[in-house]
Amino acid sequence: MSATLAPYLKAVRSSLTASMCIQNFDSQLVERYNKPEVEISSGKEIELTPLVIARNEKEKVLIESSFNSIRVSIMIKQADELEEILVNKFSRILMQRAEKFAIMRRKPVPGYTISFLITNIHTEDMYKNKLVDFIIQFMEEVDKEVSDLKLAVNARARICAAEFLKNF
Amino acid sequence: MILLEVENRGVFDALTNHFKSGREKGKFDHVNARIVDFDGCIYHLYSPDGSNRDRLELALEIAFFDQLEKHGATDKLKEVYGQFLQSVGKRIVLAFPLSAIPENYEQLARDAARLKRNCFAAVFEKYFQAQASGSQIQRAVIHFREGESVYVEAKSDRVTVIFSTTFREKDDIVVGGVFLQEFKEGRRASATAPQVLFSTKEPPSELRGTDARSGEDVGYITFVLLPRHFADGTRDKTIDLIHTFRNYLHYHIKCSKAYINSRMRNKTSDFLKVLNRARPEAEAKKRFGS
Repeated sequence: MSATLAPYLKAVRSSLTASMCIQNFDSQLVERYNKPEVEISSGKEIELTPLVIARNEKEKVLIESSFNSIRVSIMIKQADELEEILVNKFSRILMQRAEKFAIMRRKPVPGYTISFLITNIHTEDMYKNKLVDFIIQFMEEVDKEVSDLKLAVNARARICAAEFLKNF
Repeated sequence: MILLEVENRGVFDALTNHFKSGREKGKFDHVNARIVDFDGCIYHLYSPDGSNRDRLELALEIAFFDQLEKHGATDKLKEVYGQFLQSVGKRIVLAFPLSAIPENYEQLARDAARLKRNCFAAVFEKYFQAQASGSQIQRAVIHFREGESVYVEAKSDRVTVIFSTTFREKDDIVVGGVFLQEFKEGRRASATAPQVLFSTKEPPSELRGTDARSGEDVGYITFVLLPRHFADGTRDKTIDLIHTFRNYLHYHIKCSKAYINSRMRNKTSDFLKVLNRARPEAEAKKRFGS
């Protein structure tokens, strides 16, 4: 399974680096407006073709790009019920702190677990390559954390059951 | 701390201290304390009649005592507490006159702290005896919490105890399922352990046709106790463990959730640190600092 991880992350990394060429762009439709075009989509010429990089059905990344912003949506692997609630809890905690994270979106794009919105303001403040590093590291560590927690819950369950039952 | 303590630690400590100081000083200190236990039961330790300093009373309020009484709880309490038992009912009162406190008052304090456990014990002992003697009696149903009950039944070669529990949150159902799965497979760890079965959403076949609830948030856990689990040497231990099972399960589910939450919050602040590395000011600060 991890044999596909490295090429998957490499593909995501190069796609992100390529698509993160964004610059300031005032709205064409409304005077004095300057909004992320990927969110409000004022015309077909403003958006680029969305790109999906899928490792398998359950894990994929959607990159939607436009003149002044890109939206990266990640679908995190959830193999069973326990992983589902762990991933839900985790993404809820992250999205509640979206303001601190600057690039995070408060609601995920439908069909995905979590979404990032990177605008030209962010790329003016932060290094682009470090932003890409962050997203890749995020993807790796979330998977690791979820499987660690799943193991921890299973281990705790086993110990509790053993402690209880050995006293009979 | 993995296993829950059977006796109420608060009651035990309070009583031990009061007995000790009472014996040393010749009279009890004035006290009026409420100590809470599981399942909505409250202990009340107080000096009766205000100024009377040579008596202490310990009252336990159990909302569902009338269900336990049906199965002989009163007799069991009389047996354990003898002269100290003052009144029985929804409010059980133990009275401790200073003159009657024995040399080994710690044992008395321990027995008093097990008051709630002894109320439950009567039910289990009745069914253990019924199985041993082969008599047929109706299944016992105790609704000890809102929406949750325990069913005890004596069969020809075993006693089954079925807990029906409600999971108040959706996450509890999943984590609870993991725990119950481990309990079910617990036999491979310990050969003497009783068989544990569980079913979610639907009551097990034995309870079909009763008022047993079904629903998304309901779980049923069945313990199959064989005669060696309630032989003379093991009976008390078995009752100790079984009657707090529901509390044990939910306590550990909550512990797991708290652990998951704290780990996720730590991970979140780690991510924040990584993201802040992307900002140039951070680099500038580093240069000045080094």
